[in-house]
Amino acid sequence: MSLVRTEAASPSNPGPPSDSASVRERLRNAETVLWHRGTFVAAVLPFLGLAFAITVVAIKGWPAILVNGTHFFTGSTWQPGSTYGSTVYPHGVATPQGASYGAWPLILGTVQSSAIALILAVPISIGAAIALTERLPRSIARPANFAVELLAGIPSVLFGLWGILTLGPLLARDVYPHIASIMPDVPVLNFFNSPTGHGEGLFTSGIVLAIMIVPIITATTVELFRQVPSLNQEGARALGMTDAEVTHSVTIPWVRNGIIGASILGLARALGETIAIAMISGAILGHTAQNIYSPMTTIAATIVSQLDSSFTDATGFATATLAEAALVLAVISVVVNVIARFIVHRTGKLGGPVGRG
Amino acid sequence: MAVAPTSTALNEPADSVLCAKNLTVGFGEATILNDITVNIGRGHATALIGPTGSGKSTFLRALNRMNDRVSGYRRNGEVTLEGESIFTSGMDLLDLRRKVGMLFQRPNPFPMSIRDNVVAGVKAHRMAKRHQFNDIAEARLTQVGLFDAVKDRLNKSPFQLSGGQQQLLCLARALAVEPDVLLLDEPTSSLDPVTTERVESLIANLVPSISVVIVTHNLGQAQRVSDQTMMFFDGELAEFNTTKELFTNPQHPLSSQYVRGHIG
Amino acid sequence: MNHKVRKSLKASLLALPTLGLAAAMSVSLCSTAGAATKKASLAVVAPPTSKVSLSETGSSLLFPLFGSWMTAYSETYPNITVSTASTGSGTGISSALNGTANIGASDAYLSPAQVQATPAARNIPLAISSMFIAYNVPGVTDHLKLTPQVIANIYLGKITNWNNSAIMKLNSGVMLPNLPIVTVHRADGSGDTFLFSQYMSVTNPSSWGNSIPIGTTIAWPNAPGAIGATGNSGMVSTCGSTPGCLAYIGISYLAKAQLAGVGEASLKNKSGKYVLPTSATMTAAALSFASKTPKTGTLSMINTSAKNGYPIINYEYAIVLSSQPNSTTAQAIRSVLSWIISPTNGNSMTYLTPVGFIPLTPAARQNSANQVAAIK
Repeated sequence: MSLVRTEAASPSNPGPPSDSASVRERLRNAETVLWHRGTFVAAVLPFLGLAFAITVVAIKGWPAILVNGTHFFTGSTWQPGSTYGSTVYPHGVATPQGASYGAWPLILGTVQSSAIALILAVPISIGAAIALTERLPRSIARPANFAVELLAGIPSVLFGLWGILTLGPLLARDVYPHIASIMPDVPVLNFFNSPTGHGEGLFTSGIVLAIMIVPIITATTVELFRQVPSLNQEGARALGMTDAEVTHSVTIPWVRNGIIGASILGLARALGETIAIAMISGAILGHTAQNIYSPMTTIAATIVSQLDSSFTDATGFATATLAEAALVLAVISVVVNVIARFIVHRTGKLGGPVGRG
Repeated sequence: MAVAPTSTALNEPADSVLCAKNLTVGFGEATILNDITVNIGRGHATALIGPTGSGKSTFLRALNRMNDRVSGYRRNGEVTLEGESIFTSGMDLLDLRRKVGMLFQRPNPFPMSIRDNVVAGVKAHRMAKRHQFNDIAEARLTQVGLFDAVKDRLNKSPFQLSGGQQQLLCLARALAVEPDVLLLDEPTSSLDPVTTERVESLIANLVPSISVVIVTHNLGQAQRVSDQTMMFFDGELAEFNTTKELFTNPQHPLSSQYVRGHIG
Repeated sequence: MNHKVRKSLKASLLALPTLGLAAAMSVSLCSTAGAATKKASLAVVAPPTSKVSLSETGSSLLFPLFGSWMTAYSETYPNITVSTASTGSGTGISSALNGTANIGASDAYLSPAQVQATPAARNIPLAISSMFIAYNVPGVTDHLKLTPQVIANIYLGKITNWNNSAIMKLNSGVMLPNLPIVTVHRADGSGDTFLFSQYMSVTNPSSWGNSIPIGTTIAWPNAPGAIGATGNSGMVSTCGSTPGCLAYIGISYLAKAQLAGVGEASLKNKSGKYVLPTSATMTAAALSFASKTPKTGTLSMINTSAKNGYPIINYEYAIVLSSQPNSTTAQAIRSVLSWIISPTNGNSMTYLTPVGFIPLTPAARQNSANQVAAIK
């Protein structure tokens, strides 16, 4: 049976009605409707999911939002209060006496550790992607690429374990002291010039996060580089550009938006990373990192480490506060994404043509 | 099929900008070019014609070593630029490509502003100071007749331009590094007739200060822009002659058939 | 007087300070517990004959023990199956109180607010655990001697180096290195933090005391170099890999800590003796509290006055609701718990020695048996 016969039997075309053809026609129509509805649902579901999650967290966190107020964003104390003592009712909300939550160290820790991770991971990932697509012979690049994709799927608890048992002590003993000794005592850089601690802290967290997100960004960037038309790269080569210049002025700008997107993907993982950070951050509540080696914590790590304990607060205020923290994390993620879109929009105009070449 | 060039003595070595001597090029098992010996005249416009797969593009790309990166590439024989081998370690590949520029089948602007596109090569070869870039861009865009069309959007992306305008931009970019030779690989195959005509007249104006080598499937174009023509067939040079002679009085039976439209 | 103030007054009346509170609570719960005046049988309650599945969740410290208990119990009573889970004491408490688990395991007793919210909630002592103060000081081979005051001053950031004179004075003849102290505490909520903060509070009423409320998570003082670690295993590995560490770790992890090169401090007790957490010192301490255990089982056993008693011991609790959805479930729970507190079964040294726990004292056992018998 050919499509032509089916078309001839369709209502718009006068022709001999064929039963099997009209049945098929109806099936096709039903299929089309199903397809449209299905894709509509698929398109709407993520938004509904996000809205639902944020709504639930906002409702759960509402008592905490009321009581904690702006202190939540500026304060540094993380005081669950006297859970075995009396209950007080600020703003009509039951809280243990003395409870006072300030999430500033968590918010700053989240941003700092993710920023360090991104600063380290993006250049490394781009370098690795260049090596995999252009520098290494195919016999090495293929297994290496496979290894990168495998790395992207390693559970974070392994990174955490490795960080606490191997990397942290190694950095504290052999690396941090050297960095600290060469850093001058001037603003910004003196953040690096201080007691280097014991390997659990902000810098180690940033490094482990970087190691975790490098495979994600690299794998995506490799795919992007493969999409760059060779015609344009040849054009640069034919003009007498070096390989580095070709990469720098054609390959990378061509997929700049994609690289930003891949970096945001990595950043999202870094922002939300929980277990590894809980293990290697030094997990300090109550104050921000005094220097880059200091113990710290993040929103996600705090939520997971404090959740069980929050259940011992019979007023439910501790749990509400964790919900508020989760809401803040969600907002940070959304803000980061919006900023990324904005950057893409601003710089994207000179990038490679989408869907061409 | 064994074919032999009818004439290799069209240009003396002293009058030639590029000379191939027993040049054989292959990729893996396949041999694409077989034992080509030819002198490309300085200040001439040389057309490379022949059926698809006859090796003319590979020959063109051998002249600025664009084949080097193709996997399985192998070569025998010699190519010299102004008497100097382009394959010796003494030859700076980047400088070779500055001297021997190239324009491709389809426009290939870089993902940077129109102005930066024009001066990209100038920047790479450090041929001018930064403050001169604007003047260079304007001069080259004017040379290719594109300046008026883009003068208000020099900082904008080139990908908004039409295909023809993009190709002119690529030509301006190639000319900005002041090449001695310009290789053109079917430069108008993706362009409309009006732009094609414009590119052809630009090429005609480049000669004799720049030697031009142009691969084309368009026999009319070969006749319009070139004064010497190489006829390739099956990886060999079937005939090399003045364009006029090759089209009016082909010496080789294959040339004769091809220019009458019987092959390819 | 407005509503809010009245409400908070009522709450503060109900919630007296921790230690005095136990007595107050036992009185208030007597009326609801009812049968508490009678002495319940100490024999293992026979389970129902039908098949019953129970769930236990909570304390990670209690989890391995609960697992071995339930394996043995199910061998005797195959129709009762108990699923166990290590989720943390807080989850154990909340799961038991909201009915998602039949038994919650907790290192900490219920807070007054929890009892007020769920009057049917019971915390039933099952066994006695302890905690050791751990350190990683290179070159120190013998047990370091520490007092609760010195430990508090270290965690408060007032003593920051191991060669501090206050530590040297306690350990004459020991070569203490010039090494910054890294205080390690639990980053996650923990019964061990609850216990440690009680110890610090009780022994340092003025410097620590009420300024840092006790709890499974507390607002740690800002000591230089302080770090958090997750879980007792995290405490052990962090302390093992961090020279200068001072930490508090559940007694079950003593063997692992020793393998990791972590030392166990000898603590000065109330009567001035330096003691290690052994079966003997823990029992001495437990006996000193035997007559004080209220009918509710809610009792802090910190800082014993026993001459040879170890100052940090605690009950491990089963959190259950005294009124179960049906009599079969209630009977199964009674059977399981009575088996656990029985000295020839769950409370025998076969189960307790591997985790460093000791059995309930006879008085405490009678108390628990009474509470178990009241589960209907």
